[in-house]
Amino acid sequence: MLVTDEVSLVYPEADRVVTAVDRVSVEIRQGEFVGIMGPSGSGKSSLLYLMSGLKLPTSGEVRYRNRVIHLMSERERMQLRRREFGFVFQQPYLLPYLTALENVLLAEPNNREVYRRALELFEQLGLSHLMNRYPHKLSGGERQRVCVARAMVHQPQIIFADEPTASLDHINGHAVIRLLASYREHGAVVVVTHDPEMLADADRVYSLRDGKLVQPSRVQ
Amino acid sequence: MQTAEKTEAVVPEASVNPLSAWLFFRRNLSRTAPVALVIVLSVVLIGTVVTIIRSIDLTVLTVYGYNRYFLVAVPRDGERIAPEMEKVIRSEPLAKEIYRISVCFTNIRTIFGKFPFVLFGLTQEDMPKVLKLVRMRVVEGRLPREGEAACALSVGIARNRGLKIGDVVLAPGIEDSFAPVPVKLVGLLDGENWFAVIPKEFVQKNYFPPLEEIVVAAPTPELQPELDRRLGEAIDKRQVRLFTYGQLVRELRSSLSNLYLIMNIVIAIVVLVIAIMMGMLSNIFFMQRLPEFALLAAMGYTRGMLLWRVVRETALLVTIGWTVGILLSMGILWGLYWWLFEPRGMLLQPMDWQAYRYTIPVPIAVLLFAAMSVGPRLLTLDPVLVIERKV
Repeated sequence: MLVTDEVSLVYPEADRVVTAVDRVSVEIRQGEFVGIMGPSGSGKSSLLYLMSGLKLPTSGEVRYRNRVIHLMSERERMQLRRREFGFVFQQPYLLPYLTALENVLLAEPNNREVYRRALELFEQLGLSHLMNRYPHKLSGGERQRVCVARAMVHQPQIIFADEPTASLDHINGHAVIRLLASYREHGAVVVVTHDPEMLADADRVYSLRDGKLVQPSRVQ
Repeated sequence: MQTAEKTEAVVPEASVNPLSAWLFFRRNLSRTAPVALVIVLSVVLIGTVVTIIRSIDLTVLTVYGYNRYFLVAVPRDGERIAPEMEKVIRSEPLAKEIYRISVCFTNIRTIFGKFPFVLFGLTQEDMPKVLKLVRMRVVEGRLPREGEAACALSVGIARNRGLKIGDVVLAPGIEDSFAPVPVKLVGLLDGENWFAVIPKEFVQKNYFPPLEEIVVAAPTPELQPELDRRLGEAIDKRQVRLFTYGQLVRELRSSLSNLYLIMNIVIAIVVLVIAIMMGMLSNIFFMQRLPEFALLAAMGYTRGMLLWRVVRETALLVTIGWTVGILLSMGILWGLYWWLFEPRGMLLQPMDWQAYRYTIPVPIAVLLFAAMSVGPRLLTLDPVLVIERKV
């Protein structure tokens, strides 16, 4: 479904050139829970940005359903991210003046079907009692679960999660990972983390060090 | 579906469109209300000042409103219009009604100080005809009679001077409304204009020099400008001076042009300052909301969509500010009108749309400056940079 082919990301920083991702080739298949692991600065977040079209590669290519992402127009890339992808970031950022439910509806406003699905999701995730709460009334774990709901509600093909458990305690971290893993029934999930424990359930784990893929990657 | 309906029932306040500008406005009142208030105040400032300044125009055009129905020919070289000039006037086909008059003056209060108002000295026979010509009628009392030191005034003038029937209008002791003998108010007139009549023979007998002017009216008020033009060309201006409504308007506009120029400069400065301030505020608010825009951009909202969102939010804000500002201006002006102007018989038009037009640049400039200051930032927004550092 999504393939990176010898993809690299190089950028200048102060007086040096940083190679964040160095000729990495990975594959994400439908229904997979894929982990990307590595220590801080290993390039795992950069790889996720390349895969999701948030960054464009310096060399190599990222193909989604056989279409090269960096050859798409910016509008097409935006549409791809909006319709086909879902995002969960390290910090569970919610718009402070919107309720939890309204934050979830940001994925696709003005859509009754998405609205209905959001209500179902809140029920499934056991968050129904939080729907009308504003973000400042939610705990970190609750906020991140709302972010996961936001990433899922429009039923994307792939959810990209960048260190989704980094700001959470162990219990909440596992709860969020379980939630993400459950999405396999609908599409693929790519999770970036430095905590191997969180990827115990992953179908495939890629390890990165200094921007390079470390072989062999684990496949379950 | 049943589940959805059941759950929807417990979340009535959830908005299906969380990006609606109205939702943003009311959920961020601590930010939006002060900005709207600045717009309200600037609109009130401009709206009220312009309306009050325009009341000068209104006053002069109302005071001389009767001039739309006739022109006045005044001799320059004697006490009467020379016979050959009168012949020219009488031979004009559009000159339907011609009356010989003599005038005296009383002062009225206006927003710009005391202003002379003409009392038309008319014969007993001509008085009702001229009143009909200028669309006035007696609403209280009666018309002054020949041989009487009396006059009839418009209700507006009487209110302006604080007079009622039986009061003295002109007298030896009133410096700005002088007459050798006291002249009493015997009748009140009402109609489309301000007007005042006094017996012609009283003016001729009591004022020096005893000038006699001629009033010339066209068959209809629509034809009056044409008559004014034709007589303006035919008359020898060394012998006769013509007072026409068109000339009055031109002279008024010309004398007020500097005042309007100053007013326009002040308005432009106010608009510019407000717009720059709003642009800077928009920038600050945008920086505070950077994570929000970065998140939306990461989720796939195009820059155009984000800019459109900023424009919609700002447009709503300025529309609310402008509307409240206009309503508040009207409230203030109606208050001023009833409390200050109306009791003194001074003129003010609280619903002067021409004046409110001057406030339109405020919302437009604010919207443009906000879009111009936020737009470039949105175009260069890199969501990853914000996400990595802040989100």
